[in-house]
Amino acid sequence: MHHEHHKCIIETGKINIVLVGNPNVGKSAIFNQVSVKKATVSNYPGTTVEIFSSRIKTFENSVIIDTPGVYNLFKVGSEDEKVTREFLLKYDVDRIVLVIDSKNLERGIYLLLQLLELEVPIVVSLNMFDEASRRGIDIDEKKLEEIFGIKFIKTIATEGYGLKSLIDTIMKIKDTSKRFMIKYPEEFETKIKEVEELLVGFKHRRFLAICCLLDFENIKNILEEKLDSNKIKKIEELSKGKDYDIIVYNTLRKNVNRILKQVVKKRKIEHKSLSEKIDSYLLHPVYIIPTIFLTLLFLYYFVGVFGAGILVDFLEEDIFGEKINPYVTELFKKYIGNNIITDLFVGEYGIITFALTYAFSIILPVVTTFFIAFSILEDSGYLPRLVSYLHILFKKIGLSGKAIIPTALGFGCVTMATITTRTLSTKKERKILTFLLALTIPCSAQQAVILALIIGLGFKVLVGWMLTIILVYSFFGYVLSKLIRTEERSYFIYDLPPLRLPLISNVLLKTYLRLKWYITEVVPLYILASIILVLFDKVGVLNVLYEILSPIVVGWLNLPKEAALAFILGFLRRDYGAAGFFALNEKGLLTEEQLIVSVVTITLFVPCIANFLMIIKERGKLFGIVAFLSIITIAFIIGGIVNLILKVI
Amino acid sequence: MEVIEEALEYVWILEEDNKNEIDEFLKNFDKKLLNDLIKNEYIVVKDNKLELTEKGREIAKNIVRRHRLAEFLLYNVFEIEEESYEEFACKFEHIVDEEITDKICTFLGHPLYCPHGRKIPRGKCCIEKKKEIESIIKPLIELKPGEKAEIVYFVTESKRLTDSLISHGLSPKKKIILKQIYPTVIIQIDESIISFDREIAKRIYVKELD
Repeated sequence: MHHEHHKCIIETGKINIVLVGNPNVGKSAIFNQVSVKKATVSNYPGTTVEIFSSRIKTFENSVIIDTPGVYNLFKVGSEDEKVTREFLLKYDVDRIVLVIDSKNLERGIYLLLQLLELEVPIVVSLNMFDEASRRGIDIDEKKLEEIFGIKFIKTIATEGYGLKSLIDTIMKIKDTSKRFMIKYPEEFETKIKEVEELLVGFKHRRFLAICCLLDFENIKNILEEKLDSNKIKKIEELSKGKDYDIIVYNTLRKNVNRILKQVVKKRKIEHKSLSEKIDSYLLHPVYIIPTIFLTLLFLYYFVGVFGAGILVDFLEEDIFGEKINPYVTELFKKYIGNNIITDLFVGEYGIITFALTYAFSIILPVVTTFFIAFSILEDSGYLPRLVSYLHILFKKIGLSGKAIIPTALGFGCVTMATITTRTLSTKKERKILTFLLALTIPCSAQQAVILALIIGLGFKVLVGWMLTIILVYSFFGYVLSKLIRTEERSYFIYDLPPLRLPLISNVLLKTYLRLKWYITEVVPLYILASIILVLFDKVGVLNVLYEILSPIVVGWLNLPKEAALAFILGFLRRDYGAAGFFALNEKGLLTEEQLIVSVVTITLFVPCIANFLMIIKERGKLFGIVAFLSIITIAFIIGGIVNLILKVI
Repeated sequence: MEVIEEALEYVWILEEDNKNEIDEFLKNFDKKLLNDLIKNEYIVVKDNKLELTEKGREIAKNIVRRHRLAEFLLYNVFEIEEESYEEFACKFEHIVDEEITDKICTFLGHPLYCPHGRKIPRGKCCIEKKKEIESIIKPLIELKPGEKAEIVYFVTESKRLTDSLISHGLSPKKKIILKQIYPTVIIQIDESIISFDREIAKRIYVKELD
């Protein structure tokens, strides 16, 4: 899957530079600062799930590539690590920039000792050295250069400090001969040599040989590209027998410690910084609770009241309702006349008066405010603290706290969230969460319409709706965690990045990128839906469909037969389906009970086309189809149950 | 007596490895000793296999326990390399009495596995979880927030867990500060803050620091 993707990234004839590093060390920040096109920057581990590439501003002939964060390349523990390792092994990488968080030099050196086994020139960026220095850690980079025989450059990526010097250095270096090489105990070195001899036709043979000995299962696919099964068998034999992990870890650790002693000086820092003080509240099991309510309140006011209320009113009524739509309608009637083309653009389901009005006046404000709020929470380091705090709840439904970030993002866009399920550690968790996202989480577009629909029914209904979502999420999470069997055990170990004040420029940049993504996903679908609707309306297919779906819609859900249209729209996008109900409600065709049943059913209804395609891409065709069918079934069943409950009440 | 102890210890290990055939035993000891052991009701022979009697098992268990505790002490606390501690552990198992064994076991936090990964037989102290002498090595979960400690070893059956702990920077000898133990465990290690399951914290054994 990643294969074709990477091929177009590396460009032969140009200098291909790859950024490598632990998660959350500022790789993406460096990437954004030095390249012409911008990519997402993030504050929690695992965001860089896609590989980004661009060109360095000051060097025409360059390609710069950002890779997912890694801890260990000899033995991979996550999909991200696997992707990065394969990238380094399979493609013609000309330079590596290892980005190290100066506060965590140890981990960086650990990774450096592994990367030095690759036959690629390396420069190290000692990033965030200001933060390290504030914490009393001084690093002697001259000494590091002396030890390793490669360049170390101090940088502060967010401020652009040191980046010019970093880039200039990368462009200059070519040589790999004079640098430090680690020596493993004799018996392991002999093994490496034996494997190396079998790796005919490969680059980076020593690195690859070490990976074979430590991590045969995960490296097999690379071997299969060039070796016959006989040789692979031999390598497998060599990798068995003794446990080399301990030898390698011990050697690496001894070297890391020896080096750190020579290059790091610690000063005593007396006072706690403000962020540490705040953090002691956020890490406290009780004191964190009020901050959760404050956050929800912030979301409610910023997204709900300001975005979905004030902004939507202004755009929908003042701009589209009073200015654009009457004017455009007038124009069409005047110059085109009363025909199908006019209907297609400015009629009841018209592209301008329905699709675009809807996309830009209702969806856009809600999505924008949501993404701004989400980026703030993400960049501040608050979300990772929630991950850790709420982990035990998610553990009960077969997930881990890490599921919170995709779930929260799902309230913005479920398709985007489906991509980020990659940050979960096991296949089982990824399956469960992908399904739950598609089933339960309403994206901001859908929330916008649904809120508009039920806000008139009072607070109780709103709470009931939210409880239903939580209940369905937990219930199906639990069921799936029992149904999906796996040998893989999931261990929750999670890095909490330091708390930071989010940079406004970063927040706006991320919001802009997400919005752009969202609009290009959504608008074409809206226009398509408009066209289908107008055609259905003209040709008279609608009545036929009403009849076919009537047993479910009328019989089971107790809705008027016209509601079938909303469900058909729902196949395109759930929020479009919700809009269908909105239209029915405007016409006064729905009772209060029917409105509640519709809202619950459409909330759970099938994921939008974009999400469906993403599910297939990420989890495979079979999973996608099974999920699709079960979700429709579940949505109708639960809708029906709600109907029965409401009757009893 | 020492020879008998050695022989019974060997039978115990053969049983662990499911290799308790007579031939296997005779590779290291002679026929006469085997007959002595049978005569004194330390072992019985069934289908060409040796089995410890209750009396024999008790002796073997104690000797194995002492041996493995000694290994653990030397390796994890005094950090002596394998070649030298093996020899000492072999002498140690014959000279220490039960009371001292239990004290050492408690002192070490009732460890479950020896450095080779074999099970250390449980003693009385482990069942009672004696605490009169403060264990110097204990699971991380038993510390209080704010306390400092040094990681001594992990007890895990899963390599994946060990790998993932190590790649997050947790390894023996590293100093940590415990920040929180509920709902998840949060520690500071160097300048990183790491959060993990309470389950995992039960498997990380630490030495408390002041």
